[in-house]
Amino acid sequence: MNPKMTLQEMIAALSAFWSERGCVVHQPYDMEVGAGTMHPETFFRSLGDDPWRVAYCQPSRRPADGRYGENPMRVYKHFQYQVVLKPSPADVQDLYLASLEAMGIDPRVHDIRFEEDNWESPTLGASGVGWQVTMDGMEISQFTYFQVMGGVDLRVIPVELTYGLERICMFINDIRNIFDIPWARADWHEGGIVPYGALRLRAEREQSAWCFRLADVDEHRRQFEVAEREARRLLEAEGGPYLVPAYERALEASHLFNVLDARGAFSVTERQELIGRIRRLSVACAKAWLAAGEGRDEEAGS
Amino acid sequence: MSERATLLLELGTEEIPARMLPGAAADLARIVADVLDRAGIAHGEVEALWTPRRLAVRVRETAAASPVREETLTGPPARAAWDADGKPTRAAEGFARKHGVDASALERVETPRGEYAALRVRRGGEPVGEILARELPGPVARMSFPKTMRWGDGRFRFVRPVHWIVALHGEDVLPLELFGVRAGRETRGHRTLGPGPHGVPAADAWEDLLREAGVVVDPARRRERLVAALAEAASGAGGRIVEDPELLEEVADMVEFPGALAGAFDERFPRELPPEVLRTCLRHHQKAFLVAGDAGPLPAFAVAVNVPEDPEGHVRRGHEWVVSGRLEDALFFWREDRKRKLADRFEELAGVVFHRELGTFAEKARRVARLADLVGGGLGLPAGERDALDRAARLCRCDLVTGLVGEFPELQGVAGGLLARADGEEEEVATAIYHLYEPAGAEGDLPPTRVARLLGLADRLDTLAGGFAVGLVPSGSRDPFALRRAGLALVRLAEAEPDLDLAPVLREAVAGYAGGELGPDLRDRAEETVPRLAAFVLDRFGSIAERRGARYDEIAAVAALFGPDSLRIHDMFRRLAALAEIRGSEDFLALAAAAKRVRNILAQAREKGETIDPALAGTAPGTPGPERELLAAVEELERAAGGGDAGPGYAERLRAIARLRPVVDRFFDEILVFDPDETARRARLGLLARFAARAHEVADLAEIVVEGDREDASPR
Repeated sequence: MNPKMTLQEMIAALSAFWSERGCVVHQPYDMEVGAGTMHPETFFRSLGDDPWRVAYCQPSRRPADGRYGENPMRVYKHFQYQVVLKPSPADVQDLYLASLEAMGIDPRVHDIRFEEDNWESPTLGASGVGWQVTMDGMEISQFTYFQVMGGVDLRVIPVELTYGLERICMFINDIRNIFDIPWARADWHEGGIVPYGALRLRAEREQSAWCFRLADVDEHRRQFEVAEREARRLLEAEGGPYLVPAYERALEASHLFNVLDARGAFSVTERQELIGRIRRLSVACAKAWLAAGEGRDEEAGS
Repeated sequence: MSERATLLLELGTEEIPARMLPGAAADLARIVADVLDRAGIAHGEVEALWTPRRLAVRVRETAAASPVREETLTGPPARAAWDADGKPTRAAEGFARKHGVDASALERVETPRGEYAALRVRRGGEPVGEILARELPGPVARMSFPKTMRWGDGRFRFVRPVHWIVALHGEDVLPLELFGVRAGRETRGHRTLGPGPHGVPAADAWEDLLREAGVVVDPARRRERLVAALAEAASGAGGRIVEDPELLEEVADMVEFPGALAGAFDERFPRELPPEVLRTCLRHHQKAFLVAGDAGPLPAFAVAVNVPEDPEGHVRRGHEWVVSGRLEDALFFWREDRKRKLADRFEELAGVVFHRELGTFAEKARRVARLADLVGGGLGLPAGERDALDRAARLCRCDLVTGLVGEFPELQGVAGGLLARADGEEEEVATAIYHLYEPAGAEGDLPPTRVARLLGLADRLDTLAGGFAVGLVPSGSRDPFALRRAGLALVRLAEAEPDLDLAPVLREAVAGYAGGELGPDLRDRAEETVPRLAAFVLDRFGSIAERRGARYDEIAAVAALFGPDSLRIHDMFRRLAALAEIRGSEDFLALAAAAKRVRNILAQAREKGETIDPALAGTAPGTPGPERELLAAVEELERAAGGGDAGPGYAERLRAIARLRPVVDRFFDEILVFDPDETARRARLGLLARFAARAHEVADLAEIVVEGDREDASPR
């Protein structure tokens, strides 16, 4: 097989493209998150009026989407390439289209469209207005102008571009099964490429089994309580707030919630209640960040 | 200055959602027309044009400036304005300065109060661009959308970011600024076919220039061309598209260039999936049209695309890929759903909430079955149909817990019907479930069978009774339980049953809740719920009648006869038709006026505590001729009316009443109702009561509004 573009080449192309346009090219956040938006470099830096530009690839875990590696499109963990530009530049749509060209997609032979799709994250207390970008009828990106983050109405507006890397890679290479997409070119490997499945298939099977069947519900509930309590304690601690670790506890709670959800552990009401509890943590972190006059010079994450 | 030319305003934006486009463009056109009209600027036709990336207004034959008029501004009296030498005084200079001229420009004018210093000025003549620059920004910024956003530095709020503005009067650029963007003559074309920027030489050249750049700005033309493109694509696939006007409207507003292409999918799908499911799946996920031939669905779809061609086949292959995946899902659900019978899902309905206070769908199904049986029994439905109705009532919501409806909520009812048929339920049962959600409102087809219509009727009755019992009564734009739509459907379904009186079943529907496990609150509210519900149904009747062209007073005349004790919808429409038929006659209108007069006389008599007894009519000794004539005429009407429904039709009865006009006129001309003699007075009031009963028989004629008629017409 001679792929047009491998997954890692796409990531490299996007990083080079956005690096040239002044983005901090960051690394994935080293915790379990459901979406790139939860990375502190997006969540916190969207707050306040200071400009910010960042790009990174974020592995995103969605326990309920796991399919034991048997579905050609759906997986427990996928890779989002995430770009945040704040304030949103006037030519952001053109920049986005140019970034597709950087991955070898010629917009002149495709039908690329921006279709209404407003985004909302109840756990982050966030919402935005925007589109899903479709290419030849297939959704390949989310394009969102954040309006609210952590319960705070934003004045200066960040725009977030989220590329569905696997889908785009499938598209570019005309491949119909996610596990067949080329991760890397490798003359040492059978077929001349290392396929996605070689790296991800076993994990998909096992993670699905864990999230759907094996995860200990009571233990997860307990850990949820601990994470929530710790977050509160860190926000209220003397000499604090210690908002980065506090926010990390909120991320933990969010992931625990997702596993419990995949296990079917909630009634509708309890589900709503837990979402509300996570949102209150996110909102408290956002408020603390702004109260501390953050958003300038200092490093948010690590 | 006085030259007329085309005015063009184009707001270039990022992609605006299709659902908001037509309304937004119409609003913008109205704003521009208002500004022009208020300034007195003459103009021709105003057009709203749009694509996903632009809202535009084009106004033909627009004057270049507001009209000029001369005005005379009076200043100080002449003797205070000029001194003896004829030199301007300080008063004159002050007045001149205030208006920005030199005192030498002042003139003497004669006024009724004497001679004054005055200034002749020309008002108006303001260029259209300056007027728009001043007047447009406010209302444009306030345009309303279902959802708006901020962008960039957050200074502005609109439906999507605004990037360019073309504002031209003929060839001239207008000095506008909106959303921080200065207007110019540069527009953008289609993103790939002709991005530009392109300089627009003149407003009249704009549409053609954009067409060259791959953009069809006229939505009607774009839709027309899209229809042709879809037809061509479908015919290439060996069929034609299955029409879907709503979808067409939507997709035509999602493209700038109206292209279309056809794609194929596996033959398994049309073989195994019912056409309804195929079509819904294509529409729901891919906004694609199903392609069908003479023998039914083909394994093909057609879709609108924003490009004229697909040289490398990428666009087709992309759509085919997505469509296949979605159809695969639909087929999975269809197969899974068929592994269990619909009837076996009833238990699960106990876990699906109909409304927080009103219980689950399992409870609803039981209530609906009871109501349906009552209605069917009352109408003498044959035993076989009654059984089918009962079965359908119990099964009709079971599709709520199928995978298919979980994936495609718009298939509820249809999915249940298909699954019932596949389960081997009786055709009568399956058909009733299939059509449960029809009619969609005031318009739309009625279900095709009687059982289906009665099922729908019982279902809507139950929804309305429950909604009213817990206070979800619609008000203004708020109607969270969609009760207005349920009411419209109820009226239309009831219209199809000539013998049905809704009043007792409304009462039963409310009782169905009060008798259940629901709280005592609901029981307490039941009594007051019935009259409110009846009034609501009468309102829906009026709204349907109005749509069909009935006049509001005719509707009121008929509605006045009905209420919580009698609600015969079919009958009400017949009465309405009779009124419309007879309305034109002069006698009828005169008689309507008389009926109103009689109503007022009787009301007055009641107020005075007079005895009104129909039996006393004609009992006074020496009854005068006109009174005897009226009595004879009323008696004849009473004999004719005795025939009930077998007697003369409503129009004939109204005609017979109208023929009384000369008799009634003579009565009022020659007879004093409030005669000082009590016996005569009571006899006359009794006669009028009997006349009123006739005038009230088909419709309350006193409600008919007659030209020049006054409510307070006083009795003689």
